[in-house]
Amino acid sequence: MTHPESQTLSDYLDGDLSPLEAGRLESHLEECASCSDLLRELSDVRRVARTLPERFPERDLWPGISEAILGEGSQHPKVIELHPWRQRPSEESGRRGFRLSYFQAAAAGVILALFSGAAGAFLHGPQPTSVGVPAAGPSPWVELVSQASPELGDAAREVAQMEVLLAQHSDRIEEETVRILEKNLGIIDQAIRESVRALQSDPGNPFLEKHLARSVESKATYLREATAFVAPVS
Amino acid sequence: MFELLLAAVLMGSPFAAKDTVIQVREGDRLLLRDFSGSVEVEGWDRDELRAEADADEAIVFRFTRSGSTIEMEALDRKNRSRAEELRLRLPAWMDVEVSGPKLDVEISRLAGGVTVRNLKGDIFLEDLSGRVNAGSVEGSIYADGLRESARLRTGDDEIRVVDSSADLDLESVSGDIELEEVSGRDLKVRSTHGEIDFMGTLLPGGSYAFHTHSGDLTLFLDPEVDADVTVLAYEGEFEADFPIRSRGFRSGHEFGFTIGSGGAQLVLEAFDGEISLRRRDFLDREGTGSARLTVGH
Repeated sequence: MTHPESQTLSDYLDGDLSPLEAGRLESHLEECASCSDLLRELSDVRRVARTLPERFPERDLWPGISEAILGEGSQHPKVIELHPWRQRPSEESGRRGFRLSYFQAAAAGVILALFSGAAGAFLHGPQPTSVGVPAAGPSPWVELVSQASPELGDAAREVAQMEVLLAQHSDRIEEETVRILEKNLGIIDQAIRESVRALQSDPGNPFLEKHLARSVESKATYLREATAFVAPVS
Repeated sequence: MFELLLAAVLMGSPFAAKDTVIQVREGDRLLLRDFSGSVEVEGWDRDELRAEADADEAIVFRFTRSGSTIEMEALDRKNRSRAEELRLRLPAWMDVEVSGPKLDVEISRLAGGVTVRNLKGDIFLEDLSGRVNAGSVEGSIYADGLRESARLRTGDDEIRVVDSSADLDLESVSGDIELEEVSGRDLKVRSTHGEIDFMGTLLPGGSYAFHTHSGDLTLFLDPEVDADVTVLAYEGEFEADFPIRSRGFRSGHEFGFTIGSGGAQLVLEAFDGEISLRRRDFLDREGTGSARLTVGH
């Protein structure tokens, strides 16, 4: 068989492949180091995301986070970028002209979110992460979504994993297509932010809960379409 | 894994278009992956698959069978994947799956299942009576004559479905969705930012759900339509050419009303877009605005 798509590997990890399909894939994995590596990466990301203990901040950061993200009641909105891949120069850090693509920002942001459990770290100004990358980008929505609608937490994390995968392999996609992906993922992120904001003002509104779930699913669907093409090639 | 390898070498001058024909058996499925260029697939009444390619060099078609799946590759002399313009004819009953990062696809006259996926490139689907599943990150999808069911998704360009009786599940991010003369029993249409236009028939007992975040949603319906309608325009507007009698309207919450004697279940939801329910016979007019509600927070 040719190299499986990343969705197939994901289905394999989920146990969603038929015995025949799984057998074919396993035969291929025995012979293909790049696919085995990708499977291991996928498995590692999932394992880390699922086994990390929930960590709560020492004080309730949510009101501040919310205000910073949504700009509600704030005279001086914080660092929320409508176009998160366009990183503004940071006067504090002196990192002028540093630009992150949406995917780079997503990867850095998601990893930080997964390991720190603190969405607020993204929201009070560009800050260097452990890999020396300014923290920015769309990853805070993972925790936003989880806070606004806890039952969407798993879906949000899965979407974040796909963002990481796409970030790692976006060099396999034409620049023009990457630009369009960034634009549309930004549009969905905006819809998610607006849905969260509405849910905060109107908690328990069944339409808003369904609407937020649909927006998260839209992001998952779009990312699946894109990540299907980033499996390693020999 | 059992594999049957068939290869046919197309020698000849540039743009040669010799045929390669293989026999297939009922239940077989064709798989084409990682193609670039264009693929045209058309069903016919023979139990054979014929492939031809227009290319500026010799092309090898390789068919690898694994169970009922036949995977096809088009390779150059150095065994690299090549396909600039590929044309296939195959039994109408055959399932086919086509994918590639930069690929225009045209598929017609098939009764088997059809799956298409690309990053960029346009997808044309015509006269398909099986299940269809097509997705593009940035290309458009045009479908005419879908008869069973179709799930179509695009990120950036438009989805247009005409003259189709299939159940439809359509989704776009910023692309517009246009439906004309559709008459399926189960429609789910969603966009994040694209506009949605519907002109078609609502069948008694059918289910029709339209959702958008910030696009506009416009339905053109027969004046004699019978439907139970549920509307939620969270921060947008709702306008209808039909008379509405509804109690208990609250901003940000759904409200319902019946058109005619009811029957079809119609759901219209927008977070921040405008919803318009218009009579088809008023198509050339600006809309009567018999009912208009503006909601906001």
